[in-house]
Amino acid sequence: MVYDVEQNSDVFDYEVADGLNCLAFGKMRGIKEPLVVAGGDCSITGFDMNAEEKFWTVTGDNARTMKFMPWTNVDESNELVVGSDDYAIRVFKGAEMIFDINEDAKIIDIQVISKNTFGYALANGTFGVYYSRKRLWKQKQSSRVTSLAGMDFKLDD
Amino acid sequence: MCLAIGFDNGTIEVRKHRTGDLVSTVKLNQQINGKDNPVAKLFYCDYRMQGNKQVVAVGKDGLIQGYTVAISTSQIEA
Repeated sequence: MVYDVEQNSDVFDYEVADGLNCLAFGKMRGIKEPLVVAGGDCSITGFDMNAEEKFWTVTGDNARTMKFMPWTNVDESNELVVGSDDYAIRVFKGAEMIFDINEDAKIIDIQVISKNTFGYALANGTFGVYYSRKRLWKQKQSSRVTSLAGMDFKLDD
Repeated sequence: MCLAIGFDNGTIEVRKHRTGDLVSTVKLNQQINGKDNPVAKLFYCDYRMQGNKQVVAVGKDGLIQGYTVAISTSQIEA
């Protein structure tokens, strides 16, 4: 359901057929208006303001977490980074998958830290940071990670 | 830039995004029954609308704790 806070009214109500695990909001390459993207069982669907389906693609297994981020430095358009239950992090540019990372457990959370840098957390207690294609570091702890937050807080760099 | 990580034992860690070095660690207050309070969700937002963002942690029992981020920490400069 989409709700207009300022007008205090519903915008639309829509039932996604194959379940709903996560939502993301942003602009897709090649589509003018911003979309609400819903990650379900094996599929990702994008809806516009009028609840029209503007975008559809497939992933393996349940899409667990999604984030829009400028993943490449090449252009300013946003890519969609999707973490799913088949241990993979996939990067979509429009409907096309441009990169695929295989991890060793279910992806729990993906959070954008800054431009083309994101943190990820797995169900087995691993967490780490990717800079585009390259993993900067990862760590594993005995206690399980439940949530991440990217902080674009200026330190020394 | 930093990554804040919430654990199921209530610990919140802040690590440098480039190296993974630990910058700071805090633990959520325990639940009334004395058990650890797992982090349900972390946010990084300007919750108090004061112009600076803070880390807000929501615990499993509904506890909400906010942490401001200070720049004058010796660990950060190291």
